[in-house]
Amino acid sequence: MNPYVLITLLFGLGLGTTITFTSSHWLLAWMGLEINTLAIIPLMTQHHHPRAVEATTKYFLTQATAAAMLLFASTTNAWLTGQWEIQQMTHPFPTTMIILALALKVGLAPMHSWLPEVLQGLSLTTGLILSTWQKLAPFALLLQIQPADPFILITLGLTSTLVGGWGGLNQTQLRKILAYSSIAHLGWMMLILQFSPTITLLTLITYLLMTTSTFLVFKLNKATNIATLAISWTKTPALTSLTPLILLSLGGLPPLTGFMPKWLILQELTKQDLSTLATLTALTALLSLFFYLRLSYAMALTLSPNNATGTTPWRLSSTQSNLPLALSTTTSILLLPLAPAAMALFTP
Amino acid sequence: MCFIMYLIFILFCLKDWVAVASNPSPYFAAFGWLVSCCSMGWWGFWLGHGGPFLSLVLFLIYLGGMLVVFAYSAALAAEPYPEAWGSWPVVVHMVVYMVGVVLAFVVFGGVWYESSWVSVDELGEFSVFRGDAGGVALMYSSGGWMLIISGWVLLLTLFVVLELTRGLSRGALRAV
Amino acid sequence: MLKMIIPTIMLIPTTWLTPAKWLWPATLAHSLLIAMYSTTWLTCLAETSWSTLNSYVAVDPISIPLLMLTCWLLPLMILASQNHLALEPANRQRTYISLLTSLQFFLILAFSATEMALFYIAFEATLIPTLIIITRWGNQAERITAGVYFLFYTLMASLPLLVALLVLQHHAGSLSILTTQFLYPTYYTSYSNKLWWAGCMLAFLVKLPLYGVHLWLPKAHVEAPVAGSMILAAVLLKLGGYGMMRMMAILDPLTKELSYPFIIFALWGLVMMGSTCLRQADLKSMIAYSSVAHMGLVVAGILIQTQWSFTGALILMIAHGLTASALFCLANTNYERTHSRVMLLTRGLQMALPLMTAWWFLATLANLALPPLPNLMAELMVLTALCNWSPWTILFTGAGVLITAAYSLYMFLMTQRGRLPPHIKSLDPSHSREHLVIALHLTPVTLLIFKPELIWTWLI
Repeated sequence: MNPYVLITLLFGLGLGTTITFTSSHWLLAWMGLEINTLAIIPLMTQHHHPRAVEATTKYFLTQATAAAMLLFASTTNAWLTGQWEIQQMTHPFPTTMIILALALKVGLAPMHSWLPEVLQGLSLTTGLILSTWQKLAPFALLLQIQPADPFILITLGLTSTLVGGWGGLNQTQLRKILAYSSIAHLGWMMLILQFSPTITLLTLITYLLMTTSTFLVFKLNKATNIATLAISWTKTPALTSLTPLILLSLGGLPPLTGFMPKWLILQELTKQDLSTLATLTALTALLSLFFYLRLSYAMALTLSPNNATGTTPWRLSSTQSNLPLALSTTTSILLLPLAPAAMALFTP
Repeated sequence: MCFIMYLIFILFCLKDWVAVASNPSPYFAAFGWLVSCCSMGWWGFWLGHGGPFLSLVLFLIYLGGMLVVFAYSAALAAEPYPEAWGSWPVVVHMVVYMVGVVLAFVVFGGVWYESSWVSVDELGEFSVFRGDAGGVALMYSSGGWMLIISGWVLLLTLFVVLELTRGLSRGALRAV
Repeated sequence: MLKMIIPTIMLIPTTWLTPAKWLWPATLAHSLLIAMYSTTWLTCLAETSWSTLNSYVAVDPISIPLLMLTCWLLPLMILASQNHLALEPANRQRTYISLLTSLQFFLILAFSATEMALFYIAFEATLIPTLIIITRWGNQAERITAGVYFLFYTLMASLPLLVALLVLQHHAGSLSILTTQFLYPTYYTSYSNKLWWAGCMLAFLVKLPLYGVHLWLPKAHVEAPVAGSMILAAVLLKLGGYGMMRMMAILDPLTKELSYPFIIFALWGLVMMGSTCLRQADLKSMIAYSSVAHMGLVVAGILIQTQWSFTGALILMIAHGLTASALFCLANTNYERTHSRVMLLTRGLQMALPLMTAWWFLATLANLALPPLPNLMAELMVLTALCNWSPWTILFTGAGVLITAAYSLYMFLMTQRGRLPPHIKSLDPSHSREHLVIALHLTPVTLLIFKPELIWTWLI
């Protein structure tokens, strides 16, 4: 791709998200979402591969559907209440519709099927953009909506954590596993959204950090399935021994960063007298933990037998910059003691 | 007047939709689209209901946009043996769609008819300025940035389309 | 407390900066220094309540023995693992020692936390190093299953504990262990309160483990390398007992009714696990089941909540910690020579390794609670308390003690006595390192005979 075109497209990505961030008017927010979608499409088909084209088509169709639903819902809202403001959603019907549209946009459980398929068709860099940057704009909108019915968000959230856990169990493709992991994490964010948007934001940011380091690790190892992970120790031994910690942090085990959002979410849920829901959600995290554990096993905790050619990749040095990986890995492992600071940072 | 407009709408729009939907080669489909927009389609319809300014803008934008689409599809999807509207499979499609449209009109047509529409002019007594011109002026005065962004988005779209289709064998979205 | 925690953390730089040649002696010396320094906590025993108190950690007579056991175990693990890791590259040896060190760090935090939330985090944090030790340095392919069982059994029960703790924090406003005795007790007996009680207890009962949820333990023990088995048997199981002791103060009026099924399971488990030991063919698995049986006594002792039973449970945890760890070390010395854990194949070792037989004998006697070892004191106290609670328990506890003696003797006779089987002709002689490890296990057990108040101060 021509660098000028690439820059234009990346600028478009940034512009779309920024417009959605700064808008208070539904039409402008919708425009931002559409610019975003438009700008990432050529990035997705950078490598003209049938899978990439298929993924792009699927992505385009789902995002267009979601955006059309959003536009329809916001127009209906304007029709019913005469109000275009994002924070003034009072009528339950457009509110529900907008929540569903945004859920389709980020890939929450009943509307999640496109996400693993799309992510599987992309290169790891574009996949990283798709599962981090592209989540920001819809979440900026979700954070501003007060749903009329508390059950819709809880249903979306619980279904997502369950589907995310179950779906990833029998996958061997890393990008699909990461997609299911994304679904499960988004489910946690949905659960807490109506009680404490601050915690949702915190969860989103920690998830972005952890998933960024996972994507970068996989990119450094050029790994797209579990079998390739098994020889990653020949390329980057130190990183290979750290990766289980990143993965278990995604799974939410205590001394790691991933435990912080889960802890705060469970605390908030028990404060709302939703202990049963809290227990259920906590237990669904075990489903996801199983596939993170499987990745850790394949990558670092077992040593698969290899022939001589299998252990030669250490000769090839990578050109990838290590600084982002180092930063995101450190934060995605060691942030738990800073939980009060992180909370203070996100409290408005 | 309303009834005439109604007929125009039914005849032109539906005819052109069928022309596009009957699965000819992309060349002809884009041409059909062009014709449908530039002939007495939506804009004529709107004009008849008293919105000359908006219909003019719509016509210009659609003409420009559709010409671009037509040029692209002509350039990128030119086939050696195109399926024109005279070809048998296309004719079969057309007949089936026409029958479908007529059936749908017979079944649902009673619910949705021309007298449920309100022409723009009817509200003229209640406002100081014309609705269509006023809306456009409002958009320019308070939403200028939005228009700039829209212009940028058009450029972006151009890049996106080029990126998706460029190259003879490497283009992502090519039928042939 | 920082006097213990900072040297423990600094053990990691020691591990990574020492030349490979001096790796084991340096880390051993460093960790032994920490262990020696931990004896200064004994001066705190004279005080009746909390000492070395700061805003996060403190020690009291329940936690001091367990903390000292933790600090004592690290040098022993380093000593015991040397041969197991001799063939590994230096960096992997360092990683291994770092993991053991991090385990000690989290265990010190867990035992000295004054806040249930910190205790919970440290309690869970021990899972990751243990999991890595089991699955990375275990020997068979089954270690994968063992790791999954270990992690998921523990987490399945401890996530409800987290929710239960958060509920408690919501209602009581604090999770501080220092003030739990003064919390207004919950007199509700509604269904949700009973569930809350179960949530508070189950994590610890699984960790101990209680008979019925113990399946992860024999697998983990059998598959883990020697240090993993040692720390698991000696300290990690005791986290469960310690947590139960701390939680009991809050759960007061509910425990009286709700503890019956668990006491029954514990006592029944005592008999069942002993009987299982009698027909085990695998040496490590047998020691693991013996741990489950002993932990049954601990569970029953803690659940009836009398002074004597609590003290008995605490003494049993310490004595069993040292004894089981010694037995795992002994089993490992056999395994490193014969490469088999099957008792049928490793018989008559007295002929080949006579001095080891002496250690086997002492460890076996400690396991079957011979007078006057602390194991006996513990069992007597728990048995007496249980008998006082309900005379019928003597049926189970008596049978349990008898079966314990039986399988301990069976283990000793199977491995040591008789003719050496023909396939083991050339065994390496015992290393003085191995003698040292066992001696360092059994010396504290023996010395505690003379000054048992070090671990039963809680009674006074």
